[in-house]
Amino acid sequence: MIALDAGPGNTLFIKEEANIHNAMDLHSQLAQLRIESGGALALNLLGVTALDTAGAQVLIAFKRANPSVTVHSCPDEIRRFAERTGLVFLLL
Amino acid sequence: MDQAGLRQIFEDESNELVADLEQGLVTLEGDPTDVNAINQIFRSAHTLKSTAAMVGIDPNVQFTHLTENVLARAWDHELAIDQTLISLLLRAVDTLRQLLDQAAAGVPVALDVVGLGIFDALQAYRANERLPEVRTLNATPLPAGSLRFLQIDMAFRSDFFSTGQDPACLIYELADIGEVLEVRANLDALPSFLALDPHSCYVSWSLLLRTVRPLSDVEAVFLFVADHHRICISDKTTSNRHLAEVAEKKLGELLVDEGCLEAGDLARALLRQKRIGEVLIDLGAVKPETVARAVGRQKAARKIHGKATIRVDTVKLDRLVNLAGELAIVVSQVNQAARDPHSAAATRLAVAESLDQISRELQAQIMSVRMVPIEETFSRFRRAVRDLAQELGKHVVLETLGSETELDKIESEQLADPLKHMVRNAIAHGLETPAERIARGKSDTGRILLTAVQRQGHIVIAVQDDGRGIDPELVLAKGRQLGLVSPLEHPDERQIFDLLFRPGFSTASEVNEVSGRGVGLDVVRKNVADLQGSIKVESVPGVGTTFRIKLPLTLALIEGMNVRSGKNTLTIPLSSVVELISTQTDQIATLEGKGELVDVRGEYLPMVRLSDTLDSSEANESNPNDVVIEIVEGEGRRFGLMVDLVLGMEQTIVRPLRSAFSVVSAMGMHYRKPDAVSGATILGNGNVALILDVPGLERMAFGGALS
Repeated sequence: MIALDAGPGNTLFIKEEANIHNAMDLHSQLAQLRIESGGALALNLLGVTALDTAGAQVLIAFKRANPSVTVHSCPDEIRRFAERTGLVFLLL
Repeated sequence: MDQAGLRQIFEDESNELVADLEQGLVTLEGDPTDVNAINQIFRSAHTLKSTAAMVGIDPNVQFTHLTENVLARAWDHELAIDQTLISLLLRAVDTLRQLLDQAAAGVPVALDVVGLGIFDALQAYRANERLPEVRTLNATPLPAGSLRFLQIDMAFRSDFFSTGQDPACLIYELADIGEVLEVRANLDALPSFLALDPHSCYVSWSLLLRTVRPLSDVEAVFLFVADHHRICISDKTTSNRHLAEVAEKKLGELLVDEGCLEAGDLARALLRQKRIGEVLIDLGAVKPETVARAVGRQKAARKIHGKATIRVDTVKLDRLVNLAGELAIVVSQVNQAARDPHSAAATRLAVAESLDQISRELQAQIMSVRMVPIEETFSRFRRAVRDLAQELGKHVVLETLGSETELDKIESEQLADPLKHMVRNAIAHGLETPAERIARGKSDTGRILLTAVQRQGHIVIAVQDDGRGIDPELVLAKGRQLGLVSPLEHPDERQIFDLLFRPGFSTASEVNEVSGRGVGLDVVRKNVADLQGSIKVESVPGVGTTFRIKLPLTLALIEGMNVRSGKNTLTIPLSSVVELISTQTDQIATLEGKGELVDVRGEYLPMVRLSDTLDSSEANESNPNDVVIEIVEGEGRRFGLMVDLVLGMEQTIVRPLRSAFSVVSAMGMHYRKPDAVSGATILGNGNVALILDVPGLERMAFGGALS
């Protein structure tokens, strides 16, 4: 189970200790979030140590659906993954 | 893990897989419907291909892929699994082995003329294969090693993730064989968040790759996604030619091109380039001989390093970890006892004994890590037997017994050559032709039996054939002719057979092109002697010959059956146990002068009461009418061994009897007949168990009367 945790200042921590390879679980977790119109949400990915394309697709689609969402903290591994695969939208 | 470590794992794994593949093919030849064999073959071939792809040895990938395709056609009944096909596939295995050797030696991996011939032959078998859907456009012919710019467009089927693969891995692989200058992910197909199926792949990519690798290497990246992608590789080298040329050139060449440097100056400068050792010597940092010594050491180490790894069963590692934990506890107890001035002497002694026990166990476990089943060595001979038998027109079946017996990895490797020689000898000289065998009333198929048993603190490995045997008169005559035996000497049979191991000795019938490869039985004996072992031969004309190698067992692991007899727990090597029966005392009869006999399905076998043998007067009191009898086999004889209780089976570390003796004596146990005991072991509960030597017990109990 990929755990989500709301932090201070509308920050959403994705607290997956190992990796995000379970895109289905991530999708269902994020789908439960209700972001109010105009409300901002900062995605904190520091707990994520690995990501695959399926997981990245979910995050990108989530961000598209909620333009106010920003990724403000991201581990180097995830940043490198996004840059090497061209999925930089993930980081915007 | 560093690259060298990864390569080492690749080499070890690949060698094992090639051996498995070979084994599977030989088995499949015997039974073309053997599903297990074909599964093993496919698994081995596929894993070989994958591991070669991981470390980037493309010739192996291509070759294994081709082999796999031919196998697939055979399994789909499009090709007959016959001797011709198996022979070709075995030759392909040889080629794979050769390619692996090249990779291990660090030389460029490439097929030689023979390998190319086999490749072509495999190609001829391959037909209607679905090739990867990789399109390469505008491929510019360039010399090998030239820089190319390739645009790669990748789109995948939506169910691509279900194959367990990730397109990101392909991008990483491309980055391994070149530089990904540009990568664009196309997210146009990505639906809205709620409509998104997380199991579907929506992203496609366009990359620009700069590489000096051939196009085939780039295409090979997509080898495993053939059914799930649409790949288009466009050669953009021409449009990037100027950049390519600049990038391809070395600095000196660029400077010369730009007129900033004379070619002669460049050549002189290049001559001044030195290796690090030479630079260090020039600087006076090290002496030339020091550098030479280090280079020599490095070469030697690199040579050895290739064989310096061993696969370890995780069970063994778990035991080591457990022991390390126990050791930490005991060390803590030692510290406590040492610092407590009031601790009793008995406490300190007990702690010291615990530490001693654990450190000994730890040592034994660490040593056991070096142990490998002899099956690894035995299995190598199946192919040799098959090839030689076909070459000589003989029918031969190879059987093994006790192949789970473990011995030191180094011993195992050093034994391979002598054993192989003896197996070849057995086929070439020992076994008769089918016609001869039939004429002698034997089956037309000769039998070679390889056995390994642990006996009396030794490992005994035997190569036995049911062939024509060795005529001692012929051997003696040859010995006299060679001057090895004087006319006045009348050696016994053992001494006569010993002549076979003398350098240069051979009888006329023994020399032929098969085994006459410069390695005789004298070399076999030397190899065995190097392992502190001995070899002897037993033969009965017309019946067969057995070569028996006996190696000292400083440490070995055996599968043992733990039994209780009176208050003693004993371990019986599983290799000696034929069956286990529970019976009533009325099934035991006493025959005057012959001792007790047990009725086993109408067959009366001599029986020994283990409690008598071990001087343990306590008998099973739970139900004196019910007894457990293990039917064991000693030196070719079966007999019953009555025990009180069977506790179970476990893998046992054999400790040499000498060290075990002190432990056993200290525990107040008596064994007046040490011939029946080959060693001792410490059980999981910490108790000591003696390990029975069944042949020793047989000799002790029955002497020469067992008949």
